Amino acid sequence: MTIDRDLAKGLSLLAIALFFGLQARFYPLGTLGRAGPGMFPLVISALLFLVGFAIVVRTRIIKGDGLAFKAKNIALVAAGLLSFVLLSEHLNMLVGLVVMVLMTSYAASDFKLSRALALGAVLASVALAMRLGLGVQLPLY
Amino acid sequence: MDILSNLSFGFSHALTLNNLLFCAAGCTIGTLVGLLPGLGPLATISLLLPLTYSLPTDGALIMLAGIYYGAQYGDNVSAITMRMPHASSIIACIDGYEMTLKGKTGLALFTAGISSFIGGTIATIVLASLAPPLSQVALMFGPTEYCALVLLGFLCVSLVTTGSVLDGLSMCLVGVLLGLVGTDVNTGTLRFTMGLPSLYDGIALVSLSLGCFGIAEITKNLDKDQQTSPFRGKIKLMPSWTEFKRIIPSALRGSAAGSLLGLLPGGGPVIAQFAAYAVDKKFSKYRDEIGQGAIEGVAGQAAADEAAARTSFIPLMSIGIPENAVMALMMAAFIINGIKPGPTMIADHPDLFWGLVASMWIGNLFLVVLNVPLVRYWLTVFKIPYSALFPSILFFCCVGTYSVNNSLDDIYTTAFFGVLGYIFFRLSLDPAPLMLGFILGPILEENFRRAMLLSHGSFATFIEHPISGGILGIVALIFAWQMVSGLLARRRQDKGPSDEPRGKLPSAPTAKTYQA
Repeated sequence: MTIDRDLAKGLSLLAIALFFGLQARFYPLGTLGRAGPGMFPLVISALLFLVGFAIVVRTRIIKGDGLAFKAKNIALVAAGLLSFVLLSEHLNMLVGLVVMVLMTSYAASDFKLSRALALGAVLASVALAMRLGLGVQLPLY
Repeated sequence: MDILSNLSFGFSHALTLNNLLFCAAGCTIGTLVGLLPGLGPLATISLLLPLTYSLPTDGALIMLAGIYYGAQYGDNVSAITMRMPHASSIIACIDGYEMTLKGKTGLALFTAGISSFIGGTIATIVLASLAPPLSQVALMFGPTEYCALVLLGFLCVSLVTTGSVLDGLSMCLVGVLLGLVGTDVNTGTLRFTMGLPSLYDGIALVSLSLGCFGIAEITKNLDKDQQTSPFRGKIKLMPSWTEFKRIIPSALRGSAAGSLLGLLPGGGPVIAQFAAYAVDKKFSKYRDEIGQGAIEGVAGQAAADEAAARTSFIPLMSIGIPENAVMALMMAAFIINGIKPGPTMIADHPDLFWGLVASMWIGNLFLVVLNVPLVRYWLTVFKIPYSALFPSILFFCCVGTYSVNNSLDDIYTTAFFGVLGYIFFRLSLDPAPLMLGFILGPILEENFRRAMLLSHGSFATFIEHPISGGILGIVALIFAWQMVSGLLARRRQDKGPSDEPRGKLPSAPTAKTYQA
């Protein structure tokens, strides 16, 4: 089953417009002459909603291409980044860094464990050098 | 000769040992990082931005500018040798890569380098003579004019970068909304922070740009099959005299086209390259060879690229409105370093302005005398397999994000925008207008509110002011023309949009038909 890319695009834009527009209602609107913090976001969200709506309508006239989405690589990269932050926060950055390298390397088509480990070691020493040599404040250990 | 005395004043600033070092460092690091596959100028600048935080202001600006044109040259190199373009070097992929296939990599690299120098020199003169008078004009601009200019910028960027006005505008608007996140400057209200303290000061610029341009691009490259380079490491840099003679006219044509197009809203290197290439295809003595690895095909676009990169500083520094995404990023970088670009910048900080202008030319010289001969050693970057390269880039993205505020939470934001940027790519939405919207959003809001305050809530103020009325008229015309022509074109042929919004490899036939 293929998803129409333009339809997905329009719907995502509508979702973003609603996300901001619905929140903007809770901020004081003010008057046009003395606009409150809610006014401008509401105007922009409304415009975005219109544009998104136009894109959705356009798909009724012209069929868009199918949506090709590869979830694996972006998921691996995102998971690697998240584990980097979590491990740096709770353990230390050296562990986080090695885990991130291992996880994200797996996304490459020519993954080799030995190479990933070696790379982790190299980057760890780079990080150490940055901390000790350049004085960059990294919570390494 | 006002310009001459100003320029010599600038050179006296740029030629101090520290500033020379910053300039050389910026060019060199920029070229190196720009070489890396998956990192265009936007990602390169955002990755290296934290480096400049601890520098003195003039040094920081000089280094940033160096990073920018270094990245641009590095991009050209990766396009010529690997056919791996980013938005800034699409044209270099055509003839440059053909030259590599013919074993003339060195000649192509030299041509690109020397043409950039010619383009940069001419554009520096244009910059020095145009920016001060323009800033005098810009001093007359009020809030309505600024609103109108921002809207014009949005429209032109949408037009240029994506081809589809609706897609581009939607990205600008999303960017504006993202730019609103944080504390409202007028009232102190927290907006759209979702209770996250790390968002109280707004979304970190580095997080947004590294996410959308660094992480998303890397993942995009991972999705492709690995590319290998036909480049085999043999480089003969110096051209023969006959070859050299062919570079000059084409580079001059490119410089003219680039200087002009760099000035216009939405303009900049990308569109300048296409224009220069088209001009060469029409007027060059060797036009029949273009597309099959002709020197002209490299020289013209490289000169235009560099010239437009320089002159696009003019609207930023004299009006305070960046005209494309890279300039928006530069503007943010200026502000982070404590300088607000705008009509008062030249008057308030003449040393900074003229020093920067002079250093641009010096940076150009560095590119030719340092980077062009050294490029053969740097090409060893390509011998590193991508599977080792990209985790390293990710690591530096993390460290770069972290070091801005010493905050790990900012890396969450980076990761979030990485995923979002990737989704946008898959939806064929270009994140470059988003960047522009993000930077210009707060400016638009501030001026909009001020204009409405002054007019007591009447929208007519935008039309009653002649300059803003005129600009808005142009905006309306472009928009209407786009809508109509878009509808007509779509009626005529039911053609789907191309798969990739940016960084698309133009195949040789499309390049040949571009002329129209």
